[in-house]
Amino acid sequence: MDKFLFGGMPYIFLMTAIVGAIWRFRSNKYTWSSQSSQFVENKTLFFGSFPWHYGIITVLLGHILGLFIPKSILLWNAVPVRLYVLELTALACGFLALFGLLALIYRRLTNSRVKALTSSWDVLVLIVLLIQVVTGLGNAVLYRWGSNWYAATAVPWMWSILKLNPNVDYVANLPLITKTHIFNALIFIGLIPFSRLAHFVVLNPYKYLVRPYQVVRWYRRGGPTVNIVQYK
Amino acid sequence: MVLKGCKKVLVKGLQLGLAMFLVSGIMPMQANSEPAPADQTPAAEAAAPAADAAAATTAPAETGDANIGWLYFTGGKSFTNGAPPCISCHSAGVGELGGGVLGPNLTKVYADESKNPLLSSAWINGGSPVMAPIFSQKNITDEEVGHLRAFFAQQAKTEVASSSTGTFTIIGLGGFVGILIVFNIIWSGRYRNRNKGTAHDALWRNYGGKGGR
Repeated sequence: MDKFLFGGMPYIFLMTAIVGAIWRFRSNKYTWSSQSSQFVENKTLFFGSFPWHYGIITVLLGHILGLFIPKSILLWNAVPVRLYVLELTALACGFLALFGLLALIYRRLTNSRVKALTSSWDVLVLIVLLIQVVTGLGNAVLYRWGSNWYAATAVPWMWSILKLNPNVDYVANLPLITKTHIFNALIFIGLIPFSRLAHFVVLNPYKYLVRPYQVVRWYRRGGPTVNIVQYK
Repeated sequence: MVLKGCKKVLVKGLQLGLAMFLVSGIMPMQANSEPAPADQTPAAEAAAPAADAAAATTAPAETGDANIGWLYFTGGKSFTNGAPPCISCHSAGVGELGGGVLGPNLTKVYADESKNPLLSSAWINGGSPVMAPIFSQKNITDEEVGHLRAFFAQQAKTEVASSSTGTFTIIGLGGFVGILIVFNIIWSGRYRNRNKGTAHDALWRNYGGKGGR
């Protein structure tokens, strides 16, 4: 079972992501984005999206750094205080991401206008992300110190997958929460091309990251938008 | 104006603090790659009185150096073949928040007659289903195990520390609240300023803060 889940499925999800991305980009590249629902509701979106993105990007960068420089992570963690600083920072960012995600889910569930625009893909994405964040926090709290053993177990497993020589033994005996976290990450990768997660693959990071905020503005030829208040 | 000046000072201070933190982190990283002298190792300091009292019984049995073992345990000294340090998954009375909890607590492993024989290179490199895939590729040598055994012999005389899961979680939650506060200070009014004069601003006031529900 483990061989199938962690030795075969990664290739299925990776292929789905690659083929799906090519298909979506060729068929309709202008949908390669996260469709904005800012116009229908802005405030909860801001206070959800902001902590979510700061939290998750920090944690995700940590995972990516660990994949490429595991020895440096272990070297940093060689002094217990530094290990605690790293783990606590990651945990705090994890809580930040969870807080933001719950705000976004609350928004989807309670605002009728946002609800009307919510697709099945959006629901699926939110469920996958919630599982990912909760199991990630579970790993961080219940199976410390993840930054260390991630570099020793999951990283060699990921490299074995990328080198087309999967070694499932690295992850087969990890706790259920960890295995759920890993498998859910694979589902996440598979979902990227078919959902709003497409914006996760930044084609031009420089432009995307430094562009001005995307603000949906009212057409103002007739004067400042503040006028509409008078119709109240 | 004054507020903007304060913000600039605060942001500069935070940047300076981060830079100092990184520098202070890198300097000891280099220093710790060398084995620490016996009297500088925290574990040695903590266990020194106990070690004095019982040195006659256990220390001669182990040929390794407990201080080097402490460094191997935390990762302060890397294993020859690149194996990860024990603290990743195990606790043994080291550090304020303890060691890892993925694996069993090893504070008393040396004193446990049934588990003591497992402190061997043969078992570490191939005996455990979780450790074997890692350590079979990155073997720990007998000499390194010797130092670790001396370290565990020393730690076995200390009490098993209580779980730090609650403390870790509470500090993490505190950090989360702290981040929100810092962001709020740096970007206070970001939402308000961003939406000033836009349809959102007007809509928000128009619907009395209900967001159109």
